[in-house]
Amino acid sequence: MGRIETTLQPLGPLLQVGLRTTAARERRGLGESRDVTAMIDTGASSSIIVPALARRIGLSEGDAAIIRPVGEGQAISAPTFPARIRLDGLTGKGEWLELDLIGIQPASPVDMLIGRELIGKLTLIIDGVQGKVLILY
Amino acid sequence: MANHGKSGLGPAAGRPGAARKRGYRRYPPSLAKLMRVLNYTAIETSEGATHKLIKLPGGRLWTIARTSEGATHKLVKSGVAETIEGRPVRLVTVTEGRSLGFALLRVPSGGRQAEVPGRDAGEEMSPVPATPDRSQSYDWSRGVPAGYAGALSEELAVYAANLDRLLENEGDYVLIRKSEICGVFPERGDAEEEGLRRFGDVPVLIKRIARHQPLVFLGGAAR
Repeated sequence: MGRIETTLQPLGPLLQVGLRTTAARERRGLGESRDVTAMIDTGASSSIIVPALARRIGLSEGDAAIIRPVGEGQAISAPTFPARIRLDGLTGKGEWLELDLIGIQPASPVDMLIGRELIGKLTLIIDGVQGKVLILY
Repeated sequence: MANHGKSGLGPAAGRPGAARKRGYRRYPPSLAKLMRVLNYTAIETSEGATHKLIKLPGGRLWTIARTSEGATHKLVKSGVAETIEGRPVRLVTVTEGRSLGFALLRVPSGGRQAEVPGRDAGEEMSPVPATPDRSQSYDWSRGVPAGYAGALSEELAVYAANLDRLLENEGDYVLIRKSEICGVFPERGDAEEEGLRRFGDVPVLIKRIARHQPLVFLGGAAR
């Protein structure tokens, strides 16, 4: 079982994750891989990525996500970007996980947010007293 | 429209007697423990893969799928409409675990109870909720959502306009390029391969066919 220890920083739990395009695109030499800064956000049902970053590293646009508004208002939609991420970064040994990242600008100054569709595959232990976060995957 | 065949539960799965109970000792300890706790049964697919059906305490049915390659326990993907003992079921939700794949099986309408061969006699199974919460989903028969600013608005409009016809293959993945519906595939990866083969690195829509798409809730995460 993989293990990542990080700290509760002012923004929240941050970690460097490896990001790359889908296997089919990679086999054709499309896209690139890189480490990006992600924040764990238990309030988001899905993971999101800065759209410009997704396009810069060659993720292809996929389906449309429909986003429920906070409070009153009309649902909005945004493109998704099928991708693979590895929680312990490009040089880690963890498994590459496939998911659709929603291309929308995070409210926090990070590259992406890790939402509950991915958190649901992890054990997340937050020690608020010590300011530590332990991720088991 | 081409339909490129489906994987998963094969015709034999629906025949009485086609399903049979299997031992758990051939599986890893974590899975064996799970199987000891939960009722399960197995269905051999037409492709030789084995789908383990598991009843969870809430009455939901899950499968654990094993690839025919037999290398590791991996999810055999989804969108397969089939029957268990004559009752229709459909693989509707898929998540991938680290070494195991789980897929939710749901009775498609009316909340009928699924018959799971191999479970204990007299044991009642709770109905599986069949109808999605419409307030938490988007109905694609309404067309492309207002304000969509992606590159696939034409393709999404074609999807919405042809939704009734596409729903004949609900759960599969449709590949659309501009106004052309290029095919329906049981696996998303197959649709992606076909899109890249035919069109190269250009925007194409690969979309799981469903009338209702769950809404995403981001809270205050996005601007």
